[in-house]
Amino acid sequence: MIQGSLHLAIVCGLGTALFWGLNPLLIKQGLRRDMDQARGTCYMLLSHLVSMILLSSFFGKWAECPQLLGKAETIWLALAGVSNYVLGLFYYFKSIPRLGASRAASIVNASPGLSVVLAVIFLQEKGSPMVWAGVVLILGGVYLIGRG
Amino acid sequence: MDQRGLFFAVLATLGVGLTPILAKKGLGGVSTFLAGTVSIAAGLFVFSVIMLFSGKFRNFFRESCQAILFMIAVGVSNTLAIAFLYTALSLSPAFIVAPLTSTYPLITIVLSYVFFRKGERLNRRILTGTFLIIGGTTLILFSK
Repeated sequence: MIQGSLHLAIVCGLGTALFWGLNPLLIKQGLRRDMDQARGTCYMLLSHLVSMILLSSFFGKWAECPQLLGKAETIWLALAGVSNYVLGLFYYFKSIPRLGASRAASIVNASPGLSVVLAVIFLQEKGSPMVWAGVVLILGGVYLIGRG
Repeated sequence: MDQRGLFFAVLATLGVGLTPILAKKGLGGVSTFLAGTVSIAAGLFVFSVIMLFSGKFRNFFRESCQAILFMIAVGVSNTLAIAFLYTALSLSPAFIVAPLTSTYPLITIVLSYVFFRKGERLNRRILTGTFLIIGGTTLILFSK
């Protein structure tokens, strides 16, 4: 691996963390001004969609569109969107004013642990010892934050 | 701790946790960007229908400009995070990128403390809990 690429990858990785870390604070500020949580979610989804369309255009991904037409995969992606944005994001927005940005973010960050359990149940995946150790750590963390 | 808030956070975790399971079945050779765009569009559509039936569209443009701008910033921030993630993963293996991206709760904690010191209570339990979650997430992502 070229050293310059590694440095850039680290910067980009930290950039991802920065923007994801910033989100709960922006949400808190938006909801502080008495914005209705459902409407706030809608504004957020609209801007997310528009910016994703622009980004997809920038990376030239629209040529792949025909691959999605009339396929079962599209339905699964749509269900993933409903799960993430209707259930996940909306209730995340509702939790922030009650728990605070840092606690809410920490609890929702436990979702990879839940994904592991669901993958074992629904996709018959087998978790390695490292994965289960991760799940235990996550559960411990959620428990501590819940008692915090 | 606010029990209702905790319940909402758990529901949110369920929704987010279920997403990779559903998305895995849908990622049949198309790029993450396109798949993500389809998911967002579907989520927005369903959400809009719910809002329409609950009458929430009535005062859609009556929210304060500042509040709207903050929520738009969240959407753009999410997209930028995805762009950086995609770029990072194209340059480096996931076992290097994953631990870095998993540190975002720490960034939230630091920024919360800096900007909302009075409103956000931080104690050793919450910090320890956050580190445990980051460690656990990193282990899971490392294993992939």
